[in-house]
Amino acid sequence: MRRHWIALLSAWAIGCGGGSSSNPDLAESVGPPPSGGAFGNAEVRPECGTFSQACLKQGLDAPLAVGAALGLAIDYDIAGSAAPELTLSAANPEVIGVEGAVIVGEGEGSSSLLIMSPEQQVVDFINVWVAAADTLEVVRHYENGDVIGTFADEGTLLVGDELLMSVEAFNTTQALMGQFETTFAIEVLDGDAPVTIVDDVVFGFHRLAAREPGRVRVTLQALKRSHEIEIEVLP
Amino acid sequence: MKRLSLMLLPCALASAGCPSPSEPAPAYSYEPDVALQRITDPPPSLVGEIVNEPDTREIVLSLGVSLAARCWDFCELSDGRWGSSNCEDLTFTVDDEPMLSVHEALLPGEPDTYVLVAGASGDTTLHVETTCGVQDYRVVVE
Repeated sequence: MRRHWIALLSAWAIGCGGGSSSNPDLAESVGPPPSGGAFGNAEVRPECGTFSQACLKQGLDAPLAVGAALGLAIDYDIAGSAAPELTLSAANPEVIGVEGAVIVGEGEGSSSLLIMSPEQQVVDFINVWVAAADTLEVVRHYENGDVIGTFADEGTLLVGDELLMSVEAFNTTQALMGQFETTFAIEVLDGDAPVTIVDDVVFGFHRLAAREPGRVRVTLQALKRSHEIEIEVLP
Repeated sequence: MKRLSLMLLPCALASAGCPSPSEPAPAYSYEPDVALQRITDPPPSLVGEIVNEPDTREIVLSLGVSLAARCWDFCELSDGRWGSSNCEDLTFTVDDEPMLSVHEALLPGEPDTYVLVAGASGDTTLHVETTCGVQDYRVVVE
């Protein structure tokens, strides 16, 4: 199968390439399932970045969050031909924006995404849904990015603990796809500065460090939603 | 509008009333026709339909849906026989371009295949023309 990784450079350029790998074998071993186009000429695989549960488990078979961005990799497969230069085009730009190989959730709804040749022929197309997030969850990860589980609304840490975490958006029962900016506000309830949160070098990951005993309320905001967790740090 | 009116009587059994060699040949009546046939399904819960009824030629699409369709035509060819021109000199004209766009599909071994893309809500008309004639489709994007 001929592989056309048109997503990689663009995704990295806007800071969304956290989960991408320049090694196709590695990407296939840990990556999400591809979604086949209507013609079977191409498969579309999301660049999952922070290893979000929705992206890894479902591939493109989940809605993209309004306001989120998602890099795509196109696997092109027409017998006897390598891939021409491919571009993406959205049928309804009010639902999906296209920036190179990255799609952006502009508004709720659905739109087909056309994979176009340089001569503006349609190589293949898929349909993508976009939905607004109604809840946010904080997900804890192992250092290699694997998911441990979802943060409880209240939890206890020990001084010296350092957690790798990401934020996932949900719409009712579905985890939404895409990467997005998240801000954290820490309200100290007890102690001086029990907890510090910094962005990881990989976009979408964040590190929470428990520095000293105390209690904090962390309010995170993303995609016009907010979520609170309370953390007590014990000596 | 032009449409195929092909009257063929079933002649599976001679005893069912097929004409004998001495009887006049059955009357066939042809009319030129150009049509689009859908070859992909719309996404779940969305609409993507091409109606090719004798009195109704209509394309109904949900906003944002793309649908692949194949051209088919039928007319009297230059050698006097009736058949398909294979949609020779095919052109598409849309009265309201943003509402519907038509792109050639890159499908090896599948010529005359195009993708209809519903880009804005409303009604418009798609004119499909080949050497066999012109067919107008009412297009509804909902």
